[in-house]
Amino acid sequence: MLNWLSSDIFLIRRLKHGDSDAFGKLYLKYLDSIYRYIYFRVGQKQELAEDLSETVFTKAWENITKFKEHRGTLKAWLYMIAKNVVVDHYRKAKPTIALDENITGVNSVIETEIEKNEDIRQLMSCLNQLTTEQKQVITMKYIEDMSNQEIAQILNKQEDAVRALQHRALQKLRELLK
Amino acid sequence: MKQFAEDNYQDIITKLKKIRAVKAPERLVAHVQKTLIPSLPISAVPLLQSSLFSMQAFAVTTLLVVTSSAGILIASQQSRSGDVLYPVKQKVEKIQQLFDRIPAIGKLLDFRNIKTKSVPEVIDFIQYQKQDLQKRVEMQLEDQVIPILKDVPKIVPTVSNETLLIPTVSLPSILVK
Repeated sequence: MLNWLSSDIFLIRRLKHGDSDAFGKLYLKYLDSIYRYIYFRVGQKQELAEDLSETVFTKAWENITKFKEHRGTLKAWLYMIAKNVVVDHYRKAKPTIALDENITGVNSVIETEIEKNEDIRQLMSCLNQLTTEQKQVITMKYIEDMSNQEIAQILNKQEDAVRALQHRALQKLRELLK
Repeated sequence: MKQFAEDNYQDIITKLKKIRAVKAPERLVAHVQKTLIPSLPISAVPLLQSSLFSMQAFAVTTLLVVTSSAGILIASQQSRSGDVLYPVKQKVEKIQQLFDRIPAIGKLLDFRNIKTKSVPEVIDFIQYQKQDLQKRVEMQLEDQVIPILKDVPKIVPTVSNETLLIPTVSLPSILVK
């Protein structure tokens, strides 16, 4: 019963009735995951990732009644919102620059323990040199542990195309890490 | 596309998984809890009932309707236009079309399967479907199936037991509780 009470379906049902406590539970359940996704999409800029993460969940709250369980998971829906929020941010902020700035350094204001690890730091820097799609696929597949089916749904691609992107991204990371 | 060998990249994948340790900063979590959530506008839609109660009640009600009518529904498959059970057959066909899009629930009304199963098997099957109903497709059922099924109980009392091809299955007491 406890699992059921913390399940997405139960939370969504309460959310659709305007239960802000349920929203809090949902927020905390997915905050790290959505934050990480945005963090790597925006060139590892911590403050920007925080602002956009908050925007994602605000939009989710405003649009929860539009979420249809039979069309996919809540996680995939949140990622789709996150993807659109990042695109909107770059469209409004700096229309002349590329969607993902190719910043080779790690821009976090505050270094986390993980970033102090030289290997990981180098890998995170290399991640910034991938294309937008490669970066998204790698983040969702290997950092967030999502299935190819979920990734395909979020990116609106076939699963074969997702696998191809994974392969090319790993190849490129291999070259960059040499 | 040919499956690529992830094993060749295991060292990179292992490092990527370590990045999972990147978490949202504490200040963001605190901001969410102390400022954002309390400031959310309250929805105009009231909480009519406890969601948990309504979901459990709904699942049990659906099972009652479906299982208590199973014999009638099976019998209706042989009916023709003008027969007493013909309206039931039409409803079943409508539901089956709907369930083609919802495979998990489609199993519940696979009458030919139920007919060949023993009672314990049917009970297991129902218990499994009860969980499935709650966890996966309860919303679709609530919105779409109940309106279709609501007339079936009105038709059922007009049919004598002799009309049935097989006996109906009693709902296990555990599900009624």
